[in-house]
Amino acid sequence: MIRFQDVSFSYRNERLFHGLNFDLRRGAIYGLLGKNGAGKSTLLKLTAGLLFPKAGEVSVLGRTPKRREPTFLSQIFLVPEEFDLPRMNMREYARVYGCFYPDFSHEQLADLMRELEVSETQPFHRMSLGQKKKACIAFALACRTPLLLMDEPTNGLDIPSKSVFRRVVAAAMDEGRTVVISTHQVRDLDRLIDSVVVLDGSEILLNATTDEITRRLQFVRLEENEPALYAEETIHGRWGVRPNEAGADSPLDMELLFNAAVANREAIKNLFNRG
Amino acid sequence: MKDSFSWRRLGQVARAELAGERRAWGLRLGGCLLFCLMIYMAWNTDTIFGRKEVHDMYGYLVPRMIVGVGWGIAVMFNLSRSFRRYSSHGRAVEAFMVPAAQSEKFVWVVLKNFVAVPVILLAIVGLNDLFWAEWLGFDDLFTLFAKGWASVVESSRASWWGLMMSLYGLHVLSTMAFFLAGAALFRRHPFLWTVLVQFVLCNPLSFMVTLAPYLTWVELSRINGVVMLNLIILGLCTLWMCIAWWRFSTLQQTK
Repeated sequence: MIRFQDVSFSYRNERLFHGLNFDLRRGAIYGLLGKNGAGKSTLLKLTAGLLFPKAGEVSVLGRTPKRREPTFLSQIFLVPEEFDLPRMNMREYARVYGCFYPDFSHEQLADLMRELEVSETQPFHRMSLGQKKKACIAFALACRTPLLLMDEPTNGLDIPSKSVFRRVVAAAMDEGRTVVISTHQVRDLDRLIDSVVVLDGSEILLNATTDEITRRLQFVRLEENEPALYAEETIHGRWGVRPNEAGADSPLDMELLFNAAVANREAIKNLFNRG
Repeated sequence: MKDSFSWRRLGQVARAELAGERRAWGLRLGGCLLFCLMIYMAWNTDTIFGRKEVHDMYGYLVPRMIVGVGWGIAVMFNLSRSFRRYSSHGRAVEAFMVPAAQSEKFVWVVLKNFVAVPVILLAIVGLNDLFWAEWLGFDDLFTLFAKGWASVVESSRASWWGLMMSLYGLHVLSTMAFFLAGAALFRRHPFLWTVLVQFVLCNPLSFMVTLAPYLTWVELSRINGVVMLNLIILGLCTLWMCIAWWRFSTLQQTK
């Protein structure tokens, strides 16, 4: 679905990626995690063709994004972190922009707007940030594009809306569709995403499914001096991440996973690059 | 869905972009009309309020000059903002990601800002002049143009005049194309940067174009000079458009 081959990119004097290689498969919901300035948004923009790599190749749905061909653009939708919607309501917006997407569904849009509790007839300039975000997400899902990219989609959403967001995205998934969500707020999405990509220091530290992660890593409460890849003190005790040698089940904790990946880069890379 | 240029999709792009801008364009064009009315009113208050029986030529010459310069500034300023959407923090992603060919998006920008807006503004200026001419009793622009056209056609130097008019017309188009290229090249303050670059680069050219009638007036057989100038200006116009297209097709959304 998405392939980055030896991709290098830099902003003026700041090099961001050098020789980046990774693949994202079809039919998965990816959580793209990384520190501030790691390049998560840049990665999404390179995928969408908004930015061009300085070297290497990006291939999305078998096409080169930087060519910006209409067929490619109609198969991908990017929900940016910040956006400005025009002076109209969703009904008119769907009428003038929906025609660009071959699989766009007005019925699905109406259902999504209802679920997300946003009015179709209210002008965008009279909506709050959260309402605009929900409207944008509803439109993105209604386009039914094979690839959906979202940059911090839960920013600005209230707690009930985050729950609805998870439900509507999960319901919209099928084998032919891929969703990539860039986020800091992992706790909002840990029950939604089924594959994790951790980006740090201009490289991919981890690209694996949640099943693979829980097979190789254990997220447990640790004793005082028990060794671990990463551990932190909480009010509930010392919790950490260690290799899952016993093959035991444990619920995946995204925050612990991310901190462990950043704190123990080589160990995580070795663990997930083995066979 | 085909990837090559499609007039239907161009129409969809036009509809999508205009749909959210009706109010903004209404305000802008209404503002232009108000400006024209106020300028003519300012120079004819004595005549309007009956303090003077007959208007003098300053009642229409000065407003026409001011409105003409205003038209030029408005058109060039609007051209400088042709690609503003593609560098706007909030609208850039939407603008880039609309599933239309790059050529369609570029052609729409050119049709709107290079053709439609100047023509509409010209129509506002002309109709405003017509209104004041009818009220105050001087020759309106359309009548003047018709009289001028008739004298050129009947003149023994009709072909020379024709070439000179075409030269000035091409010069205007070339300047507009220059501002369009500036809009694509300069992401920040495109109008100011384009004016500066134009001042530095194009002054010699403007000087040459202004001198053209004097250079060629003496020997009417030397019509080749004016033809050559026409071709040079046409070439420059094409060059600026190509630069605008090249830069637009390689734009990236860096914010």
